[in-house]
Amino acid sequence: MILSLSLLSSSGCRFTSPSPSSEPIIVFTFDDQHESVYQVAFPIMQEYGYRGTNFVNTAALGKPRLFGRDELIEMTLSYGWEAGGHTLNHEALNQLSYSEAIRVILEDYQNLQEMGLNPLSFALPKGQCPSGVYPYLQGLYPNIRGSSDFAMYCPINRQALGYLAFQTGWNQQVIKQRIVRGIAAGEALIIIGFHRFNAEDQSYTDSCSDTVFREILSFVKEKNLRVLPLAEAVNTLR
Amino acid sequence: MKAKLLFSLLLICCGLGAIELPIYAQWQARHYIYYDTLQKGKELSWDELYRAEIGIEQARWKDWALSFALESEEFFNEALVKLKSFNLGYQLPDERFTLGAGTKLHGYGSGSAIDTLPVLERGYIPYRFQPRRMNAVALGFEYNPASLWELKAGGNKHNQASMLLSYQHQKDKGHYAFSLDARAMDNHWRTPVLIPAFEYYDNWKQVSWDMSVATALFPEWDATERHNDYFALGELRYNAERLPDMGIAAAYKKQNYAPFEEHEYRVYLAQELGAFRFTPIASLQEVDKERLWKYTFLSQYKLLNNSTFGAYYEYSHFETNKPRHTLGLAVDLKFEPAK
Repeated sequence: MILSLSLLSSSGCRFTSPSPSSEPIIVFTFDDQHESVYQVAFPIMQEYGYRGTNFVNTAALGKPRLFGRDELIEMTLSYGWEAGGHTLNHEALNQLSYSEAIRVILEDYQNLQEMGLNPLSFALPKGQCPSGVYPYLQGLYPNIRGSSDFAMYCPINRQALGYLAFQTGWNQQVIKQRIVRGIAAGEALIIIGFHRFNAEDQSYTDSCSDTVFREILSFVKEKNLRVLPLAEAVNTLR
Repeated sequence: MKAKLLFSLLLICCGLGAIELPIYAQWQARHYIYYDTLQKGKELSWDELYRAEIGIEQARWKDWALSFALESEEFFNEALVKLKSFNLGYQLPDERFTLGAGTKLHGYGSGSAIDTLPVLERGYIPYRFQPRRMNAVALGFEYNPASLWELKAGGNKHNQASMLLSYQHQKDKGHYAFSLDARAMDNHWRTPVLIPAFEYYDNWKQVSWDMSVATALFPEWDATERHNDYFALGELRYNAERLPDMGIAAAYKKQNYAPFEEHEYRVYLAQELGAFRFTPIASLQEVDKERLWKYTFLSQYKLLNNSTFGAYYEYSHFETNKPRHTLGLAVDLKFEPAK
């Protein structure tokens, strides 16, 4: 019996305790470093005392209409946001050779490290990753987010996280109802993603107005839900 | 590999010790796709939940009793096997007393139609109120064959040192139980909490009912104000001979953090036709005044008494009435030892 029990512990079985709190955690992510994230979303998040997570393409920082290294460092190191990887230039990993895919992931990771940003999370560009590349990503990043929305219960699979990406034309009702469904279903983590704000060109499919964004944050504030950067949220739920 | 070795060793021990091993195994899965008319541009989503469990209900040898369960949820690529519960008990020379030690998830409010139709309706944590793991030693006292007192002392790695005093009484066809749960830290405020609770199950002819109520009493402590949280869950069932079975369930929770107040109501009918069971369900969930209506039709094929393959359609909407349509498969298979 004693030998059986020792095998039980050494075989990877473990005791677990559930998350100490039963309310869902909300995470707001911002992909692709559009300048409006820094100019519009960041100040509004500050008003509410919330910290978000940027997923950036480090080789594209500072290009026209995109915020740069200084802004990313400021949000992360001065205001407690999280900076995560998203490949060098938003490459579609399934269209690259294996070595090229590794290169764009690794160099992006190293760029974030050189800025002193300690990257812990990665978002798959377009939600795609060839199965052969996935183990490499898993070795580099503790947290990996895809592009599909699904319920996330404890235990959280931190390397297969989902999110709901805000679409042009949505109002705050869509996000509000997604959050309430999550609460009603007992979900532990709800990730809402944004790309740009107040886009004048309506051909962009991923723009949110500052008014709607403020309404979403007001709703979350009114409900007294916890908002955390991604890595902190996942660590809280382990 | 190690898991296989473990079970092989158990089987050998049992063979040598001539112990009957009441192993059970369970597989639960729910796969669903939904079309949300409100999420223009992102209408379709697919999701899956999986759960496996294997264990021993209760193995006895002389004065010893053992039960345990292993479970794995969704992380099959990581082979993450968790110890769901483990209990080793010893009957003392005075047969009214037992000593025990082990671990299990403990909380309030589980097993109702609200949480099980369809399977894995609320994910993987079975309790709705104050769930936490309790690793404890226990002293049991059998006052008479129908009554059991138990005192447990223990805690978990979240610093939730606790003591749990409970009394259970078995009636002819029902039972009731009182408990008093004192924790050094509760799940949310991380301050001391006292949780008195009461459970009751009974039946009369074709009617059966069960209820669970609990309240969490918080003293003033550091920044936490003195306050109480409340929880109640109840279900009433009517099992007719010629009519469909029917049931109504309700749950209520009030707490000092989000979501502050939750109500849930569910009404269902269940009609069996041969090996098939058809269950229309209507639900209303209210989360801090936000109302979600759900209408579900669940059809199941009964493989055995506790094993079903099912499919369901669900129509759900908020006040905006922009509905979500969900189609799903629900599998709940259980292999149980012959009793």
